[in-house]
Amino acid sequence: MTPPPPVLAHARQLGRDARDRALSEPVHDERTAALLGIALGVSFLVCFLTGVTSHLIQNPTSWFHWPARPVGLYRLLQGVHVATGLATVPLLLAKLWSVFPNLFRWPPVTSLAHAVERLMLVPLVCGSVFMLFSGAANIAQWYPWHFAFPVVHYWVAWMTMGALVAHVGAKFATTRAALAHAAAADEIGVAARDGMTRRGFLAGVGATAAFFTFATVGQTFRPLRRLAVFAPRRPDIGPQGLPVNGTPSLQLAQRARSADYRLSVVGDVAEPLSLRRADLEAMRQHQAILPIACVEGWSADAHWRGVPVRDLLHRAGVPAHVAVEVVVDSMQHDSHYRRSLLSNGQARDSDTLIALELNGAPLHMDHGYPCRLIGPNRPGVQQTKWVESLTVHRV
Amino acid sequence: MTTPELATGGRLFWASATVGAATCAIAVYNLARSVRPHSLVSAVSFLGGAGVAHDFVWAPAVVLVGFASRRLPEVARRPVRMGLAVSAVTLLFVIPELHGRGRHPRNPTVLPLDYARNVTATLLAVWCIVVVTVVVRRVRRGAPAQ
Repeated sequence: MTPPPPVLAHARQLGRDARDRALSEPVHDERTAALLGIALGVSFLVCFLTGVTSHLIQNPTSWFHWPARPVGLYRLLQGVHVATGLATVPLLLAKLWSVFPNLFRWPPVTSLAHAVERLMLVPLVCGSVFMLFSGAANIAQWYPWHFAFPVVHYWVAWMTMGALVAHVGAKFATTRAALAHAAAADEIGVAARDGMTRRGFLAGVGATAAFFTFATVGQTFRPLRRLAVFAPRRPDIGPQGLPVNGTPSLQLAQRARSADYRLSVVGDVAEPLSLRRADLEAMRQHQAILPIACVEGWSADAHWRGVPVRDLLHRAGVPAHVAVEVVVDSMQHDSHYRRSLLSNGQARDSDTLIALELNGAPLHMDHGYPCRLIGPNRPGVQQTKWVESLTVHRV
Repeated sequence: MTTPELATGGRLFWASATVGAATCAIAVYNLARSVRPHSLVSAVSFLGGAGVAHDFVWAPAVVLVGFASRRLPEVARRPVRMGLAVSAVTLLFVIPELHGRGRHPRNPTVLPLDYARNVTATLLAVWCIVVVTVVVRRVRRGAPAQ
């Protein structure tokens, strides 16, 4: 084999020197990587568990039951999911930066186990960056891709967590060793004069993560809404003081305003109902303070007034002791979210309403006029707007 | 020479590698059967693109900026590097809002704020802190030794 030209050999040597210099700095050592790795592992686990729970709520299965109470549990769940994901952005970049010189170790693979370890880094790094980018773009309703966000975000999350499990197993001993010699390692961190100290680096990362949280969490935590300078939503900006996600087409708005509008209650009922909005207004009205909690992480409390679903079931002749599920259909037939399901517990909850009013005034068209579903502890996409039918099924 | 790494292997390694790889494989299989072919191509492109964007664009850019900043006086080097890093991460973080593709005339509740103004104010604050830090470090270094 012919030796490389001198210029190339010189360049390689410069690269090796740069890598070794970097690896000798505290921000690139194993202790920094271990500390950031633990923080990242926790934040990924929080995002994963909250995300999978949200997925199960939106895709009901026989073995998973989501209760109607406490009222704000879904709001907390999804608020934590998005806030943690956003705070993870600087953590992930810092961790990847910390271990970046390792990418250039030579030889790249020293054993079969080492090859497996490095191979599993591909789904880990690609998946981690993809999850944060796709999540951050989605909450700003920016879709530069040609796929349905929920299903891809969900399965890539599983892929990333699989790769993370493999990585934790590979780095367990290294991490334990790096954390065991805390005192000596901190001395090195403080002693480094030319580069960044470990403490300075980690403090900068923590401060940036904290700032990003304060700059966005006001989209769900109302007292901090004025600090939410980077949040894609403000809980107080929107028609009737409430943000909206889906808006109606011109045709849908015309049908919603039509005098022919009827809400039907059908299915396993003794007496099918067909009700005009005026009929609903004439029934007993119930008021509830409930949040709209969007899967995109924003949420806001509002005062809702309308007819309890259980009153409609009673009027349709469904006995109170009979367990039912209620399918709620919207006039918005072309939407992925045109239909939602009420479990028996949700349908019988006193605060689950076919709402006619919001914050003391008739529903704005963007909020689902002539009537919408609103219930406790449900994702926003399941608070169906422009409701046209309730179909009752005995279970 | 590079710093030594602990040898990889052992029961924990192989157990977690097996569980992790199996989870990955199941996830990729389910992803492939859940979306249409053109969506899968898009998803794989973005997935691969995410790794490429980090390893071949973002990280090398950080290396180059770090290399260029070596010529700064020692008293300013760390604060300026930190300022550059925080500024870059902040701009990256706000790209979806600055890009503004989510805005829709029928729904002004999406991206309702002036994000360009907000990010400008944030970066100004970051660089004020950097300047103050450099001045304080310089004054301290200039003070007579105790």
